[in-house]
Amino acid sequence: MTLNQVTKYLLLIVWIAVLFSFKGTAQTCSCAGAPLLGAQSSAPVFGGDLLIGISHEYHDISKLYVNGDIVENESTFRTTQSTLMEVHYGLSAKLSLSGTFTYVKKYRQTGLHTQNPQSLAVSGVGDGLLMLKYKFFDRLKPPSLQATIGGGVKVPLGGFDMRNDGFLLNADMQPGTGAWDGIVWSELTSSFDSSFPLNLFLITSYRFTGSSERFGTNDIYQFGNELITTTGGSTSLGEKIGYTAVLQYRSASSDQRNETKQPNTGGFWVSHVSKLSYSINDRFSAHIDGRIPLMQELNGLQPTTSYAITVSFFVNLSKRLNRFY
Amino acid sequence: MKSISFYLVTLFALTAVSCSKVTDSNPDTEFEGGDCNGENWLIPCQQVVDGGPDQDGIPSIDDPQFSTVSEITFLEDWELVMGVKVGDNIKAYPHVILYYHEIVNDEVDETPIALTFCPLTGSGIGWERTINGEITEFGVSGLIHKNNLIPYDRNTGSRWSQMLNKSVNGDLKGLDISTVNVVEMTWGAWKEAFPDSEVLNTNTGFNRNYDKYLYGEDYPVNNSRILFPIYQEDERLDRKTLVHGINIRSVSKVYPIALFNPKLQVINDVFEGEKILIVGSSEMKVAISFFRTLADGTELEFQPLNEDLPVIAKDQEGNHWDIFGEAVSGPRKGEKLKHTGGYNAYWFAWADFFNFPQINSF
Repeated sequence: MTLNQVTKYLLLIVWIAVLFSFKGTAQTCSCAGAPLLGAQSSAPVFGGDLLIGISHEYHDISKLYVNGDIVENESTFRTTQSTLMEVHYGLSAKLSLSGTFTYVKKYRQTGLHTQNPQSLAVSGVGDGLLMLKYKFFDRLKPPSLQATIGGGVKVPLGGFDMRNDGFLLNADMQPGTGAWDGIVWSELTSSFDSSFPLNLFLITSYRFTGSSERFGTNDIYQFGNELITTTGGSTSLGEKIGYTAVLQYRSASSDQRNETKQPNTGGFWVSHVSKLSYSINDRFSAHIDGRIPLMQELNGLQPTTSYAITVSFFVNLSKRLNRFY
Repeated sequence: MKSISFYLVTLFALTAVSCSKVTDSNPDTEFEGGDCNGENWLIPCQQVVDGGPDQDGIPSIDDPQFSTVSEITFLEDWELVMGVKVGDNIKAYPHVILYYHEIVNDEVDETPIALTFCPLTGSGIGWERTINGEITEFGVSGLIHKNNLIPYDRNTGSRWSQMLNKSVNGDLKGLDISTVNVVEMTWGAWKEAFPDSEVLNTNTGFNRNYDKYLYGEDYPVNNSRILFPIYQEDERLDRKTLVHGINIRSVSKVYPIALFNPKLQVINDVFEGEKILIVGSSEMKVAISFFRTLADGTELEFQPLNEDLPVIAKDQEGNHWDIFGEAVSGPRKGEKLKHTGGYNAYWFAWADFFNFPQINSF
């Protein structure tokens, strides 16, 4: 075993230890949070590649659900807009480092059924994400197959104690979550040859969340653990245009306060995402995607996604060009 | 270059492990006195939090619709309702609907009242909606104080503490609200007592699942399920013990409802020099309180009357009194006992609002 291999295995062990050193209780960015995990671009970069992307998501959260049934929402309107910057760097042929930074704006309007509706907007730096990814299998012969695992941390860069008129805002109106989370991530991708331009992928991520002291010492708030599984395929529609269709499953366990489950939190969602990509040139690409929920089963009464639209721009400084991300 | 990258990343990871918690800023240090953002509050405003839905995010019922008792099919006998009687008008408001709306602006016998119910503190209180000669409506402000609802009035925007029955912020700050006697009991008992009454139905103007309780069916009994901080914990009773509490000259006393006899039990109590009538039943989950001294100075002594709801007690003069404190037969027929202003709430909330309450020993 070479020194390089020893180093890599040691680092993997360190990263695994890092992940499992976090308390195994849950904290999820609620439906109103920045889409950190869900926005992770597929096809990690390697070997000195550098991929930088900037995205803006508009997320309408105005639907109201009771368990699996929609109810008419006459009183509130909510949106979250998130601007994300992703940086992916290939440390080696098999190892890459990703960082995601966010800026979040949350907006709510209530009392729509009254003569005097109220509105509130909160904005600020959101939480960030740091991940290390390792490609442990790579078969180039078509149909190619790559398998990658990763792990990282959600970094509580965002504020968690913002106030309105002096009063501490609820957790789901805060730009950040106030806690460190541990993340495990995996990806399988497969591509066919040029006679059948189709790229398939399966991405799974799980977040173990930490806790934060929300109302002061010994008052511990924890969001729910989050599982996201995304599967889909992308293909070319022409020389410069690509299309990706995605089915996403997301589940979140209930939030907890002082280790007691909070009502009306948690559930699962199944969504469809359609994405169009345009290759501006060899290095720049633009993307637009829309996400709509297909079904959801929520705990209790909760606002949830009506739809989300994301616009992204990527600059690819990798050695391999003409890749959609 | 690659090696340095590896080690930097590893160093960052180890640093991350050592900083596994972020301590939120302690709101207790952020404000002094009762001033929040330039506004003066009668309650420590660092104890006031945004509950999440914002103003009118929990919509009050402003055009309540009613059905007869026989038309109501969505209630089980064990479920609780709040009832009022004004004149000959008797109405009931089911908890399961109130969980979703917290306030009902209604008129009973042409008297504008508001039924306020906070599901988190289990406190149901009736308020008169005529303030300083003007009729107002109350809405849910979205703010929470000690887990308790803070309504606001739509005429002035003033905020009110439900459990303190007082305006705590705004133009009407310091004003006490006039309360309306509310009786809370099981639906099974209510049907027997008031078969001809009107009952708030689910045609609220909003689409909600009134088959399920908003905070889960176990919220009233799960002592760990508290959504916001308790500032004054008192472990003499379990947190979610439902109590009937009264305040006499700032001294507080509670009567745990589960400790009453299953059938109606009368307590001719003396508290802070006042003669108090307490009537309760653990089976009907009801407790009410009135002053036993009448305007003419007569001090009444009561005995329970079972099997004759809504009549619950008789006095030494031979008067029979109903659960709303009205003499329905006897020499004082038509007279009313003065309500103490007491109401039901969970023990943890009562102890958090009122200093070291006395607990009745049964």
